[in-house]
Amino acid sequence: MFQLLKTTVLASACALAAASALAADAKNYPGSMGVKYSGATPSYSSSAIVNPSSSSWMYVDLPAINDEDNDILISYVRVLDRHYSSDVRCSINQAYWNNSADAMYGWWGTNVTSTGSSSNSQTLSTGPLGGTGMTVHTYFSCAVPPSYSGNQSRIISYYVYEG
Amino acid sequence: MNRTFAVIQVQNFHRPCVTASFWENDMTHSKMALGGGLVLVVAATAATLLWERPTPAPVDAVVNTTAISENVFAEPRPDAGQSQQNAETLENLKADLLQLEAQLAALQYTQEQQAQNIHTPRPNRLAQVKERPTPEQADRQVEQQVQRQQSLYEAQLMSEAVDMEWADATLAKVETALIGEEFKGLDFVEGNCGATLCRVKLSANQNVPMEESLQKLSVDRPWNGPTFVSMDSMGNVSLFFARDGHQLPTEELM
Repeated sequence: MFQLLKTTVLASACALAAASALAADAKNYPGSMGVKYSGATPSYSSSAIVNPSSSSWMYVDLPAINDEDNDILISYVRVLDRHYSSDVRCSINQAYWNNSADAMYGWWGTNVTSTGSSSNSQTLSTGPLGGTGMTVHTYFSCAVPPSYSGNQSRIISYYVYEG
Repeated sequence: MNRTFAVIQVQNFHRPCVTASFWENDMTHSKMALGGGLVLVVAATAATLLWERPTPAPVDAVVNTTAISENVFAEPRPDAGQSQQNAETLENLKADLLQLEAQLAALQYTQEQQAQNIHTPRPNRLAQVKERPTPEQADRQVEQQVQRQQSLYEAQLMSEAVDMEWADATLAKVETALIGEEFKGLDFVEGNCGATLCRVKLSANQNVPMEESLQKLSVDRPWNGPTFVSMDSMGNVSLFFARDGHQLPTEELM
């Protein structure tokens, strides 16, 4: 009897784990999927979105797919900050347009900034975000500083893990 | 095939004979002997090569084959038993043909049905769709969620003791930032903060488009905490944001 119970519990745990594994979804998007909405016109390099301007900031939105009924558990943006004093900034956001109220609602995650200046990439962890259903969409918003002495800053890629 | 091959063979066998008679009339005997030997060698080599082909057939056999072929195409001799057998074979062939035609028609019908089904979702998939909320229902769900959240933020702000130092510094930064060129089109209206949460109201300057400025505010905001934003069709913007290191209140946290 005890053996039967043990087997049942083990099988249920395995099934649950398998279901969880199926629901989880991780995606790594190239920075070139970003869309500039303000500032400098971007250039692209190895599918990273680059700010080539020596004087203007570049503002980009990075669209992300959030499967319905899933929460975003981990999100981050990999950036190259090559400006000696200005930093790359990103947050994960959601937006929703409400027809009955004729209003727009949005959620902006914590604003995360890079540090220093380096030719090594930095990971800006933008954190988790609650899922809000089929009428809300998710995106990252980032500001990329101008180039400094020819060194250009960029968004390399961004990552969303949901489940 | 055999008949064609036989013709080539015959031509090759005749050629050495013609060549030999030419030599016999114009050359001396010794030369004739040498020439004749050469001709014989060539003829023998050609003959060997021809006999070693994949389907060598002696002339006799070819002749026989031709004869058989002629028989096949000749008028059939009157034979009662053979006629009966042929008639049966013909009937069987007709029956097989009818059966094949029926199978072909069935296949064509199935193919047409499948082609139509490509554009028709499976019934179980349609049932799943019916279980999902319509866009209107989903809208209502989010709207209710948004209203609950706004109520939570209001309640939290009202319940917090004001951290005057932090509140004043934060509101001053917001007001200063919004005066700048970067956020043109957005005007500061009022703000109030507690200890971990602030609310700021902005209005849209009707002469300047403010969509871009509002979008830039998400990354150029003079605070870093999580933020809830709402904007109505008149351009009235309301922001709730958490102090750095804090989260916006949720039903679970409350």
